[in-house]
Amino acid sequence: MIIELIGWKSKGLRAPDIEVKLERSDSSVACVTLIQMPNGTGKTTTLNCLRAAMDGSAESWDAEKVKSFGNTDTPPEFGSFIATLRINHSKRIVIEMTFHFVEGVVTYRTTAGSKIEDNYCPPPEVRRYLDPRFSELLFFDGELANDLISGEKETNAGHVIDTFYGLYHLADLKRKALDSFQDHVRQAGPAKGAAQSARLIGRIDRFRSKLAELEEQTATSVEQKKRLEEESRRIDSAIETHLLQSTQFQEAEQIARDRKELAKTRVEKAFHEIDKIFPNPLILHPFLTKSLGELADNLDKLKLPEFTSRAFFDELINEPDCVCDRPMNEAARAAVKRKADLILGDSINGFLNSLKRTVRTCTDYSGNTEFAKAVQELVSADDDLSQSQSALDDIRAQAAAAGDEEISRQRRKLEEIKGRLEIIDAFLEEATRPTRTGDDEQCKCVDFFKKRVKAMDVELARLSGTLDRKHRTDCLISVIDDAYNRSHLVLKGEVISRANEQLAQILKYNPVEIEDIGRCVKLRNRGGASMGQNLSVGYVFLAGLLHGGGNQFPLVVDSPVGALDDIARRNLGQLLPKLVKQMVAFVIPSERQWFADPLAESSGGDVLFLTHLRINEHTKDIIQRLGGRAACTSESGIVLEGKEPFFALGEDVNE
Amino acid sequence: MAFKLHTEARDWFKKISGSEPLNTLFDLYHICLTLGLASKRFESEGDSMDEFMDDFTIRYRPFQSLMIGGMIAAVLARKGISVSDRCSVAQEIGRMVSGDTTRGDLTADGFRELNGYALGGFNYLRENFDAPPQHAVWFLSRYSQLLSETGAPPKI
Amino acid sequence: MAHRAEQSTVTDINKKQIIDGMPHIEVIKAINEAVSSQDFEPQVASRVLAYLEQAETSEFPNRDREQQLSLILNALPSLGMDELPNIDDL
Repeated sequence: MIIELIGWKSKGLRAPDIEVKLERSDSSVACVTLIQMPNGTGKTTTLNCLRAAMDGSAESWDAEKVKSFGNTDTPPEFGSFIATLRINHSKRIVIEMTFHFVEGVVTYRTTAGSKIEDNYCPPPEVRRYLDPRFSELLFFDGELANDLISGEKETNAGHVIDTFYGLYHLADLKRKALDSFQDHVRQAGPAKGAAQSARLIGRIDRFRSKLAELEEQTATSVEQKKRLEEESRRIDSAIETHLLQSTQFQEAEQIARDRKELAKTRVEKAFHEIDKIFPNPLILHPFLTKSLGELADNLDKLKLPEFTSRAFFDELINEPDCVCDRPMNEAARAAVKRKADLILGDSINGFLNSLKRTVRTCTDYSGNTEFAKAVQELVSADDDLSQSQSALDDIRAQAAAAGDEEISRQRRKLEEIKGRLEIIDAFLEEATRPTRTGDDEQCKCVDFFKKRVKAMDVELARLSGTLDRKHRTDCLISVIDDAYNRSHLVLKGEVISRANEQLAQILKYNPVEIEDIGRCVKLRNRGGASMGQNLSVGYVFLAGLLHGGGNQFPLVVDSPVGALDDIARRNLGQLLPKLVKQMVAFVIPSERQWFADPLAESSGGDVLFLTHLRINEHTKDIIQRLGGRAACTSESGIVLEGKEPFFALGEDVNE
Repeated sequence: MAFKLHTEARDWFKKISGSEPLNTLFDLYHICLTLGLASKRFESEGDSMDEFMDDFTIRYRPFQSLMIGGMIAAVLARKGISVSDRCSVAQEIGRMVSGDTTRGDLTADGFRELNGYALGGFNYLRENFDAPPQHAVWFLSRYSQLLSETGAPPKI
Repeated sequence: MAHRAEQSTVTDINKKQIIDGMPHIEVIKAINEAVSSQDFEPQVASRVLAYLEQAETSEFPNRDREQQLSLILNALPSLGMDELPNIDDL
């Protein structure tokens, strides 16, 4: 599926009346279009309209929101925004939004080829890609790419995959099944206890909501813990490096560190030694040797195991005559059976022989102190480790006291991380433990809420006579969950593999690899990447997703490099044309520097430079000075095409 | 017919399991069983038991007969069965041992006895620790102490 | 709608995909595997896929979704009478 943004036109809105054409005379679109719009030119209005045109979301805007798009100086009755897309290099789709400012509604008209519909009605083959859940990936600010890596905000990288591959339909089906069952229960009317059912339904909803909240919190906490632990290790390493560079503490740090490493090795060795001897009960509990020896002796005295085979007596019972030739009557059989019952079976005899053999051939462990000694060695090694860690801490404290600001700062950070980890650990301990007696609605134990919800669901089904429906619904949900997990895993693997191939080529001087995609994109062996690196990986991830498998979608980005420094901007400028087939980036003048030139160079000149200005007293002179070709002009706005006016616009231009 | 641990055992050992020497559930079972036999503490299985295996693991197979032998000695002593009472001794062994090597050589009764000592050992641990152990070194040190405090096993 | 959905077997879906590549082939595989791993009837998979296929088009009003959901649930095994849980155990 190839979708290209060809252009748009706005009239009667807050933004100036203009038309922007991205299609060139040869019908191609530029790899990158940079649209420079100083503050107040209507960038936000334009972006919101573009997105609403593509995903149809304006149909659900309230009146206040609709009216906010109108020109406040001379409010007209109507406004319009028209976006044009091209599908698979051929079919055009024109989506027109008409703003009815008086009524406060937006109506749509969709033209696809020769077909015109008076509503939002993109053709079926593109509808999914224009769904709001998907358009979220196509329209974003530079923060989204960073959020995907840092995971600090709401953006969830795993959900991005779900959106792209349509896995959210599985979640929708699951939700539909659950809601339908709830409706079924409500409509079935309780077989008995209406009030009881109503109370139970309320309780289930409350518990389910709490469960979802706790599960979400647990997942977030686990990720946070991992990140904090990585950060802690990174800081520790930084402190070590810093101290090793300091003449005052270098030697002491090295000695303490070496001692700690030795102690660690000693502890590991001690654990290993214990593990080797641990399974032998005679070493663990030497007194057992005597006990088993006595058992074996007594078995010998009692002549156990038997020399006689039990099988002999079992067979004799079925013989017509005894071995002494007397007939086997009922009394005789009963006597033989009584005797046979006292004789152990062959397999038991086999076990007893094996036991006696093992005991006889076993080393005499009585008085053995191997386990106790091994534990003593472990305790001693552990003490040594603690002391060496204390010594290291002392050196750092000394360095901080001596005025080493860097060490002080890092130590404060470590303390802060330690504090946060303690809180997270306490929560996770409570959340992940099994439920126990005394747990109630105030606890934070996930297991408690899961079990209670399950029990209450069954009770509700029983009350409403819908147990069978519940069973089938549960079966369907287990199929959906299983299918989701399987497909998500495979698709995630493909996305990671594709992104890593690209990263290996693109970031070869500063390699980074994606390890996994959960709530955020996890990088392998990276304690913390810079914002520039995060942004690069975020773009690679998104672009890999959107351009995988022969697909192409336009990326519309607001402030692609806003918060980056010059080097990061340059790197991103070089990177982006390699990732995308069409990107439309909205920038303000201060974002041009370090970014636009590398971008143009990296794209082989395939960049469309546009400068959009509002026409007023302030900008008239500026526009004259800028020169360039006017791609579009109206009473209220102008679009200038070309590199010259793009770079000539001063950074102090503001409305 | 299987090895069983108290339902709370996994959680109680949570902080110190998953690494040497307490890698597996069977390791936890072994540590509880040994202490149960050493302290002569037998408790009947209740409802709060979780099955986890029906045979000795490879790590423990070389010591299987010793562990069962230890149990036999403990049961005979607990029930006050005289060592000269051949009939009773044979009957008791026949009750607990099956010789079926695919099922740990134990009958259902045998598993119940072994599990009973493991349960006793686990409860003995809980009584002698103020809280679930947080540190493997400290736990092993205290465990070693508890074992030596229990002294000689029962005389049969 | 129900009749049309009923006729949507997995093979049909693979052949006539209204939406290019949707549902994704891995999703189709996953649903088939999830159904067969639980020994449910293959109909369950085909009806679920028919639902997803319809959901992709967005021309899938709630009434039709309910109908298709019913078809899916009907294909799943019922709770046998002897499997009803003992109320005392709840």
